[in-house]
Amino acid sequence: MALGLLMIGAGIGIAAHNLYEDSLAASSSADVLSQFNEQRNELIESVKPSATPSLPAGVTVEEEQEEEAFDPNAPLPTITVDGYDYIGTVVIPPLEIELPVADTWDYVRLKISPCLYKGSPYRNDLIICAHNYMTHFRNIKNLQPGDDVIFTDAAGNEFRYKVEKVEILDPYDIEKMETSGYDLTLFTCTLGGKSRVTVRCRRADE
Amino acid sequence: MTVHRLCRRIIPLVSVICLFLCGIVSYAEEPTYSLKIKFITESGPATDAPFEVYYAMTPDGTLAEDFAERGIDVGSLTDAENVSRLASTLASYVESGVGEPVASGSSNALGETDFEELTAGIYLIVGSVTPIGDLLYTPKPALVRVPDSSSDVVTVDVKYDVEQVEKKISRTVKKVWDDGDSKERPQSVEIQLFKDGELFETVVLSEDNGWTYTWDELSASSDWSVIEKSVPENYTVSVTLDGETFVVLNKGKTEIVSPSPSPSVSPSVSPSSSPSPDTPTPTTDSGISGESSKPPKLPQTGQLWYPVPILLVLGLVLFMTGFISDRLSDDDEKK
Repeated sequence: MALGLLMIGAGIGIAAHNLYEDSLAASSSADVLSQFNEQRNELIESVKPSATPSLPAGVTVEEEQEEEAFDPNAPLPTITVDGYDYIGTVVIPPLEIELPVADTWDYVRLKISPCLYKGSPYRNDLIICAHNYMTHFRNIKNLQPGDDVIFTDAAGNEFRYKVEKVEILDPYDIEKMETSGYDLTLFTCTLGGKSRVTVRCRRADE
Repeated sequence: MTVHRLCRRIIPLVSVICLFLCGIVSYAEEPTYSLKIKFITESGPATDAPFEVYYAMTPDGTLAEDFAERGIDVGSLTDAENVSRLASTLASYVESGVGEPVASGSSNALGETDFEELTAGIYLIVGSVTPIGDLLYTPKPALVRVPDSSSDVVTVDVKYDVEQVEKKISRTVKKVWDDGDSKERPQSVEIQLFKDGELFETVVLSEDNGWTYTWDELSASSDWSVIEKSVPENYTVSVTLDGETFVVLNKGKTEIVSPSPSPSVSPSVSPSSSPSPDTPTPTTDSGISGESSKPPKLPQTGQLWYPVPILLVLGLVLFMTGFISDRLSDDDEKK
């Protein structure tokens, strides 16, 4: 009976620790997000032209947009918040989440926000990883094909994606994770932590 | 009436006196001249190039007060080589703080700088280094006589030296830990930056600086590489270059093995190497790495949830079993 009580106590203890970590991550990422958005808005305001320039004769709007194509090798702009660099924000409307994305991953950063695992939105091979906290990527397994995902970089450039599929990968299946050919990949651990829930997306704005 | 008469006499008198005084003043005022400096380089007009003009000598070739009594050899002012040498000498004194410029200005879009109202004399023109593209243009100091024999507006074409701008680059080092937040993780590590194979600087990375450091203004013509000065015990190291960033990954070892005897050397970067904007993929690193018993793995992004239901169910079963067993034994004792 005592052993049973001990096990129940241990189970409750682990659950409480996880929930505490979850709430800590929620407040950390919300705090970073608010500072990040504030700085990004200031940055966008500072570079915004005072008046919309008229197009030169013979140049159509499409041509103007083509000129703004991103250099695939350009480094991602970053904004520093609390000593860490962030490359942008990821918004997943069906899950009602908006989170900052750190410029590289390690286990300290992952406790704050999703992190860039590899790639770039400019090359259409962006991969973002995050903990399976309730407020982070816990529910990405519930995304459906056609759902929207939006990544906005630190300069305010918006990249819109549509979910194409959700798959489960082995944690050692690095090659499959990195060379999928998808424009955006989001991944996190399954609840058991043994596998990786992987969401594959394609650009919706091209 | 008397006042009217008085005015009629005084006004012409005052007018004559005024005209006389004006004549004296205009006679006494020295004539002035203009100077136009043209700074046209092989790359085109140098714009926004700053110039200063110093009154160096009187028209008869006597050094101005600021430069006199400094033992400067004036020599022949008809010998171009000597004039050039004299200009350099005077410019050196100007550099050391001698004299005050009589005028200063910057070149316009045509590479021209105009100076007005200069009195007659010999002027020293001193310019500053002006970058155009990847080249640095340094105007040579010049002496010019104002006015010259042909015109009141003297025009000078500035001669210059050209040198290549040394391209500067930045390098960042980032420490990445793959140890599952191990308590054995050291508080700090030392990273050494090498320039062309020679130690350039050692920095300490820790939580305080976010485990990252950036070196700016590094020569692009050198090879830069980093190593971790000593690999923490029970960790392996690998260093990869990702764009401008050296990623130093320390992986925790699952088995206690002796630390690497020598730190691994990062890939060096040459100016011609094209940077890749890829972010680090620490777990897939195939760089020089110490012994590791674990194959590369994707980041562990999960909380420890699976023991919770197991513990709760097992605990509940054990508790209920114990409880029922106690009740049964109590019942037996009562009987």
